[in-house]
Amino acid sequence: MNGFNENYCVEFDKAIERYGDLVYRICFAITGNAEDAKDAFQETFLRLVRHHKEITGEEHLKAWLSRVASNCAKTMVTNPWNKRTQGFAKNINQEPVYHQKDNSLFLELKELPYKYSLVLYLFYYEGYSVKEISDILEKKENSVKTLLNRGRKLLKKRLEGGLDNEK
Amino acid sequence: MKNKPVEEQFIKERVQETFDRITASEELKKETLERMKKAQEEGEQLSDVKKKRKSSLWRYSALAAALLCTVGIWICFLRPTGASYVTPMEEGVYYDKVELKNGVIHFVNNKVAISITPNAGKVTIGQDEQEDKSDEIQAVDVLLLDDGGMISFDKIDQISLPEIAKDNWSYIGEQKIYVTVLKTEKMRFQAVYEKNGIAYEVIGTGTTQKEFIDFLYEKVME
Repeated sequence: MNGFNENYCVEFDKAIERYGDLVYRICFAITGNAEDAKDAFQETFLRLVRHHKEITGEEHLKAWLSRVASNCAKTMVTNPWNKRTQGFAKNINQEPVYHQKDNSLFLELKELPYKYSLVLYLFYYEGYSVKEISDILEKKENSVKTLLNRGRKLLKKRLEGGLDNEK
Repeated sequence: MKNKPVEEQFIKERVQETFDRITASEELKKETLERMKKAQEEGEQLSDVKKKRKSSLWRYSALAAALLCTVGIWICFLRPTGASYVTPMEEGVYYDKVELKNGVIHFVNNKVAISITPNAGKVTIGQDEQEDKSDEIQAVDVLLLDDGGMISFDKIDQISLPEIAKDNWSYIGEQKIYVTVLKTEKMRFQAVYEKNGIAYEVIGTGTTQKEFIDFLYEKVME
């Protein structure tokens, strides 16, 4: 684990290699589609170019990227233009990653409001603690706990319903 | 039939499996890296331009600050206070007699001299030596200064003024005033003005110009 280091220097290629998937997943969890996720992904790393001197270590970089990716994707979602229009990919459902075998949970996650899917991703996939998630998302720990519980319940309910329908 | 509740571990595994499939493509990473490098180069160029701009800005700021300081100093210390506009006081050695007629100050050719009694709150007006007359009037308002100076304020109907002042009115607001200064042993300032059909005279002896103008301003604005 890399703590504060004033001589730390961000190498862009390594940053993309190490944290590219993390950033993309966060963006995808929030935007729910590949095209917007790509835009938010690029915006996040372009912001890193402007702010890389502020980064003090590997952990800081990871947390910084998570937070900025979340903010960029949220901006993308809340952008009035995006609210009023539907992207090409959304129209024709051009997201090959969905169309794989056993994609039920993926679709369920996608259908959840992003505030839940994002917290579920950070908690279950990235293994962040509630405290770390609260720092990244700049929310209170109790709010994160609430989101996590509600997200869990919603997902369970949907999965149970889905399984019922299948049967 | 109701499904059994989905377990925590089950959700965890499924979330992990699901997000494992979501990855940033190599193409996206490559394209992003290129954009980052380009942005960095542009940023560096922009930074150089900014530095140059900052340098020029600093020079202009310094110049502007110097100008502001000059104006500020002039406003605070050099500009006569208390008066909206006062023409520069002229040293006058020529006297003329003035009279107030029909609300207008008229100059008479007979020359008189004025002597000031600095310690009694009195203004003595002595006419020319040939006539050998003197008249003593009680000043209406006299300001005795700590350093021995005195400013008197009086209503007049006949007073001597330097000739030079005829073409050199001063103003406090809309009020037209004659102001003159005589450099004797003690600096003497004199101002005459007419207001509502009454002529007033203010004389300052051994005062500073500021003290005199402040007093004059106060009287004119009453």
